[in-house]
Order: sequence, then structure tokens, then C-alpha cells
Amino acid sequence: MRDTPRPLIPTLAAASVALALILIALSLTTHHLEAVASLLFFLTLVVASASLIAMVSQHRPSAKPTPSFISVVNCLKCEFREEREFKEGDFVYKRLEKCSKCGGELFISAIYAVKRATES
Amino acid sequence: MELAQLFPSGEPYQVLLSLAYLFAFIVMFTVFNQHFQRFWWTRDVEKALVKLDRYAKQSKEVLVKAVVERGKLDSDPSKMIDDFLEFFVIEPVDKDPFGVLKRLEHLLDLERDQFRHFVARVAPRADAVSAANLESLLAVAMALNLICKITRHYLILSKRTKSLLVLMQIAYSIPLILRMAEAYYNSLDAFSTGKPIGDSAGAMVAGRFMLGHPCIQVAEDMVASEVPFEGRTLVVLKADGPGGKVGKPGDAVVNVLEKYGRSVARIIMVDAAAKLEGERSGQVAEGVGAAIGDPGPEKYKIEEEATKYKIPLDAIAIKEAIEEALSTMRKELVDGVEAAVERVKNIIRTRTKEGDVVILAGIGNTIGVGNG
Repeated sequence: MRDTPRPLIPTLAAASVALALILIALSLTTHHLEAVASLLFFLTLVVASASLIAMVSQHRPSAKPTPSFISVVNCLKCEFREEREFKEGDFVYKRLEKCSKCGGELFISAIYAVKRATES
Repeated sequence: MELAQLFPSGEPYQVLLSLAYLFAFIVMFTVFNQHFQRFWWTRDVEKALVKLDRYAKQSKEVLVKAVVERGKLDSDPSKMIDDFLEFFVIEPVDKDPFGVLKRLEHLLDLERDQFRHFVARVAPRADAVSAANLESLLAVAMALNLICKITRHYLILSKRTKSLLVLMQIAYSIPLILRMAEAYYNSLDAFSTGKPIGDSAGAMVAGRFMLGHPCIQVAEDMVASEVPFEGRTLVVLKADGPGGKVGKPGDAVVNVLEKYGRSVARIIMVDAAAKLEGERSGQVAEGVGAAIGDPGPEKYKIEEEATKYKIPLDAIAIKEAIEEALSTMRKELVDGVEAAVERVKNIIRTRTKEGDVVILAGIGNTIGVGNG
């Protein structure tokens, strides 16, 4: 169950292209090698199929979004609202320090995940 | 190359070659057809199994790390955790369905007790909130372990019996199995750090009403607050947060109704509900009935009490996908919570009158959600 090694795909693709070119050249230059041409045609099909399968089954590294966690802080008295990074120990409706605007009690009104940057 | 060249004509070697082609194709697409199919299906299941195995191992690592950190253990709890991951519950017999819910409730209580005792044993110095989160983390690790084992069982069974039927069923179920496993895997972060998950939406709605009001314990792991609201009295129920608990809302409703009796005009239940594909996450829907996704006992109690007192039962569902229900809450669901709060207020204003008592039950896991 190993992933197909990457160098295999260009090799197979190059082989199928080379075979196809030989086949075209043979079909243009000679009229007496139908059997060889047929064999090459069959071989080209096999190699092309193999390269297609290898390409499809190769592991594609997916772009994974990095989640970031936000704690939303609100004031019980005024309209104060602030969003900050989640800190360990935060929970929704946790009481925090006094509001700098009105002196009311601050609390966490929501915690949620946002997908910000992407990394490969 | 013409199509006619594939059929016997011309020189003898051409005829032989064409016949060889035909034979090769016939063999390939008739005799080996099922072998090719078996190969692809086995490969798909094996690939998925590698992923499931990784999820199961990583969940165990996260659990062990959390147990050591929160429980402040000196010894390695891996062996004990390994043993407990094999824990199982045998469902009650339902050939005679009489009393099956009581028997099921008894078994669920026993299961919860076993979890608690185990967490108390491996993490004796963990505080109540951490212990509740460790229980949830343990449940996730058990689920991932079980998913991996069942998938592996069917793969090996199909190989041993050479049964295409078994292999086909597991191969076609793999996308759904992976989806479920990924949902559990993504919940590890939330359960280990105590962040609210999608399933906490119901508890968040209840907590919003409880904000600034004292609460008391009304049933096992359930708290209640009496909240005045525009001339009515709201009795708001939710699981005791912010640890990962779901509580017993059925018992809480029974106890509150014992106290208030027929003065209760309405029961409003808010819960996160599985959305259908194509529906928007955070969408709020309204209906009637007990909005609770428990295995049965709690729902039964609420329906029974509402029927006994002939109390209208309103259900508010906050729609979300299964992955969202288990992973850290997303912004869309927070917006859904806000919309649900407004919907609850609207129901109270339009369907009850001043002086009424209304029970508001926020259902779901209350991880990362305090009691207001």
C-alpha cells in the first residue's frame, strides 16, 4: 500500500510517447511490418494505461487549511466587543476582567474556529 | 491501424496474432474481471484502513498525553487505557420490548459510571471539568478504535472467505466510514482543549438566557436557572458546563415539572440536528416534539411528562453536518445560535402570556460552555 513513487510517472509517460513515435514512424516508412506495428501499438496502450493508473493513484498532497480559534469577548453592560485568539482555559460565558469602557463585566460570548491560511 | 486488422484475414501470422488479441481481451474481461475488481476494492479498503489505524493510534496518543497532563501521573497509563478501549455495552433484549427503555437507561448509567471510575483511576488529580473532557476524549478514542477494528475485520473476512459480497459492502461503505472517523478525529482537539463543539449549540442557547443568573443542580449533571423574561418565568436547563457532559435532561424536566406542575405553559427544546446535504450549516428550523438525540430514555421521559401535563412541546433545531457536530464550533453555527436565541424569544412572546412559566432546555454536549 505504498504510494507510487513519483519518478515512475514521467518514465512511463516518456516510454509511451517514444513507443507512439516509433509506431508512427514505422507506419509511415514501411508496409511490411504490420505485425511489429501491431505489437508496438499494443505495447503503447499498455504503457500509456500504466502511466495513467500511476498518475491517478499517486498521492496528491492536499492543501490543508490551518484552523485558528477565536474567543469573542463582550460586555454585559455596554456594546463592547472584541475578538482575540483562544487561550487555554477559555470557555463560553466565562467571566473576565472589568470593561475598560463602562466598568461592566466582560464575558466570552462565543468561541469558534476559522480557517485562515493554507499550508501544503 | 484499422479495426479490420483485429479480425482474422490476410497472412497466417496476422490471423494468429489477431486471434491472440481476441483471446487476450476475452480472458481479460471475462475470466479476470472479478479478480481486477477484487484487487481495486481490496486496495481501496487497505488504503482506508491505513488512515483509520493512524486515527486510532493518534487518538490514543492524545488521550494518554491528556491523562498524564491533567491527571499529573508519574506512571504510564497506556496499558490501562489499552485495556479500557476494549470496553463494551451489551444492548438490552428487545424481543420483549416491555420496559426496554428503563433497562437501556440502567445500562447507560452503568456505562457512564464505568467511564467516570476509570477516569478517576487513571487521572486522580484531574479537576471536574478536565475529568469530564477526558471522558469525552476516551469515548472518541474508543469509537475510532472500534471503527478501525470493524473495517479490518470485514477486510480480512473477505480475504479469507474470498467473498466479493463482503468486500463490496465494506468497499462501498468506506467513504461514509472515513467521513465518520474523520469527524471523530477532528474532535480530538476540541475535547483535549475544552473548546465548544457543534453539538454544544443547544447548551449555548440555554447559557445565553442563564447569563447573570444563579443556577442550581436539578438532576444528574444538569443545572437550572430561573430567569425572568418579559413578565414570564423561564426555567432554563442545560448540562453542567464547561466540562464535556450531556447530563440527563429527561430527569431535569421531570423534576422541574414536579415543582411547577400545571403552571408550565410550554416546553421549548433547542438542540443541534443533523442537516441534510445541501442545507446550510447554522440554519434554524422549528417544529414540535422533543428535540433530543439520546438513545431513547431521556426523550421518552420528556414526551411522557409533556403528555401527562398536556404541555405544548416546541423543538428548535440548529442544522449542522456530522463533522461539524463533533469538531470545534464554526462561525456559521455561532450565527445559528444567535438566530435560535431570537427564535426562542419570539416563541415566548407570541405563544405564552405574562405570568406563565416556560421551560427552556438546551440539549447537547456542554463542552466549552459555562452555565452563564
